Amino acid sequence: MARDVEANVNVNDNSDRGLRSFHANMTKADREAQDLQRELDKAARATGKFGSAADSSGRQVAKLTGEIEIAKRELGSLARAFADADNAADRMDISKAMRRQQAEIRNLTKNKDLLEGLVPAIPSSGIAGSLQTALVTGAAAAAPAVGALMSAAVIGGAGAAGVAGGLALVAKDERVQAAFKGFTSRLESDLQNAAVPFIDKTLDGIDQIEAALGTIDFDGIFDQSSDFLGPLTDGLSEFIEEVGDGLETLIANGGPVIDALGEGLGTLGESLGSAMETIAGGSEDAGEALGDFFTVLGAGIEVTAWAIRGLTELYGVVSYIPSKIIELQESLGLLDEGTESFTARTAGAESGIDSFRAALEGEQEVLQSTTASIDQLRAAKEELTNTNRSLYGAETDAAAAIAETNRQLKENGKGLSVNTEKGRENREALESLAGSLGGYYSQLVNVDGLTPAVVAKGDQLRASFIRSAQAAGYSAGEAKNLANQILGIPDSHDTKITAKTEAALEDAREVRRAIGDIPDSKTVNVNVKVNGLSRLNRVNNQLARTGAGAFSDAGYMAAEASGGRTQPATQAVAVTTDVNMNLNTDLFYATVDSRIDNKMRADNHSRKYGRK
Amino acid sequence: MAESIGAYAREIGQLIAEQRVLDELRTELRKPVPVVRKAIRQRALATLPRGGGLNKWAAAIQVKAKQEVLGKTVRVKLTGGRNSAGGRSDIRRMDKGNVRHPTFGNRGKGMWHLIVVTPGFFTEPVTESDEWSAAADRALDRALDRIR
Repeated sequence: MARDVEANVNVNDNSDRGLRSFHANMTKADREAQDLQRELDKAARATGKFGSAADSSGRQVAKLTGEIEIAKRELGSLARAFADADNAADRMDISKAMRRQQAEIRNLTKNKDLLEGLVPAIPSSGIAGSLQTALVTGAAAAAPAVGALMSAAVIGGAGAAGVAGGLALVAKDERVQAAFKGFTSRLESDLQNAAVPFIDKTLDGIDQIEAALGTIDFDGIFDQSSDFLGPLTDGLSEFIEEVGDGLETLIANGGPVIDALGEGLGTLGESLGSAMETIAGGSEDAGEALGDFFTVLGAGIEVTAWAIRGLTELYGVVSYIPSKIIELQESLGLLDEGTESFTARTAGAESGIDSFRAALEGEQEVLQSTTASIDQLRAAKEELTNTNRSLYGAETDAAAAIAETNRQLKENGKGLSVNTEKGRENREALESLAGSLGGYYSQLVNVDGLTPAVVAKGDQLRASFIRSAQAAGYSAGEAKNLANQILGIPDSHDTKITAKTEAALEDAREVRRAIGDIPDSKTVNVNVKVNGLSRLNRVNNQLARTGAGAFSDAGYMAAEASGGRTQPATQAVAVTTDVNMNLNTDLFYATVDSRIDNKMRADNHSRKYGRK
Repeated sequence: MAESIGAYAREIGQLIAEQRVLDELRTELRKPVPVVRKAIRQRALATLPRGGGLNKWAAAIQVKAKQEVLGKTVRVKLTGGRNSAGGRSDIRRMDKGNVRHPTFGNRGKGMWHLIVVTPGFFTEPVTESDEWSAAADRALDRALDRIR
């Protein structure tokens, strides 16, 4: 309601900004942690995939290697059967079987080649040990094959140039040697029996062969073949260098695990070195070793390549982890910043708390003074209680005194003589009554002050005393005089109420002085812009009717001279006049009284008939 | 306590989304009302004139408390009022320092007077009370305890 007092306490929640900043920082930190976890999971999956693929490929390679070995042994058996064959038809069949067997070996070798690319990733566990073993094994297996390759390449190059090279190549074959050995023994016995008729012709043939061989330039052939050695050696050296460079790069990226691979490839290098030494050696195993070399070395290098790639990826992941940790730290740095901001705000809050505490200390001082006031109030309250208790007792005493006096007067009758016992008893009764009533009245004044109710009560007590005095024998006038003398309760008509009006009078005087300070008149400068003579006159007349004056002569004359029109239009004619403002306070008070009366009438009407 | 950074971030987000600070403020800001109400009565007894029992009369006014939530602001509105013989008493004017009263109970024409008393017996105890700040601090502490 309009007359009720209101006080609002508004508490604004500004914690959102700090909380949202904190939430954003923590969300970013969580996102970085999840990214890190995903990368680690990805690395773990890639490692496991590579491990299973490598295992499968290894098993396939081992299986094919076993089949190739079996094929080789069968080929050896066929070679021995070929050597033991008694007739040309058997040897023809065996020869066909040997070619089939060789074709099978080639197919197996191709199948091993197909395993290339089937090893996609890195092993899941035991990377260093397994890869080191694989590399060392591959290099050891490749070492004799490399040596055989070099021999085959050199001698094959010579054989390609002539029959001698091919014969020499066949003669180096173990199977050919075995077959040739049997063939020689049989030929020897057969020749002993059948070659006699052919001796002369043979000798002639030998002569012819010798003559034919004499036409072959063996020196030139081998001289030209030796030229192949240089480019081949260069290619080999380049191969080793390329492998070495790649190895260095891989070691740089691959870390300590790659060191083991380096050792394995070092062994391969040694084997390659020893292969160079055996280049000039025999051409044993050259044909088989050629295929085996490419198979084993190719598969080994492929496995190694995938392993190194996987390791490199792993190392990349490992090196990626610290960067993620750094990002996480940066996020934590942001978090720190958020915390600092939060701390700064907290510091602001602390300063606010300090000021609040200072204010609180001030409040405590006020509280102390308030406590003292409360103590005083409590003491005053106790005193008031004691006074009320005394008043209560005084009222009882007064009533008892009135009853006792009436009883006494009733027993003794009228009589106030000091010479009679009844007269003295009546006088003592009146005295006691005056004391009780006077004490009661004093208590009333002390408690309630000299209020109209107290005054009325005093009149009542005084009348009671006067009645008792009259009952004792006093006349009305004597009884009033006696009351004035011994009762101590003044007549209400004589009661003088002294109000502390000094402050109010002083306030009134101050108000009067303030009103007196208001000037009776005020000079108001009126700037009038007139654009016509008739209007100038009308304005002048209106000002004159106000009793406050009119245009100044100079201003009026100037305006009149210009035909009542200001020239130019923007120029104003300044006319000064005095306007008297009469301050009639009666009107003010009358207005206030009227408003109050109206309000009271409205209130009375509302109480009587309800609101309009 | 959260088990991970993500769970912790979600708890903070939940704290913001559910406006727990505001909820705690609503809860805590109810508690100072009885204390402030008592302070108003004490201030009325101490500052208003004793003559005629005006201070006791003013101390017996009815003080109502109403809470409103305006966006991010919690408002506690304290209203003081009392009926008198002539209708609703003008406690607002009394709080501003002016009391219009009948002389010796006479309510007729010309019997009403305006006296000046110490202003602010109602509004000052409300605005000066430190209970509100303490309640707000408690509310913030209780809300943030969940993420500490």
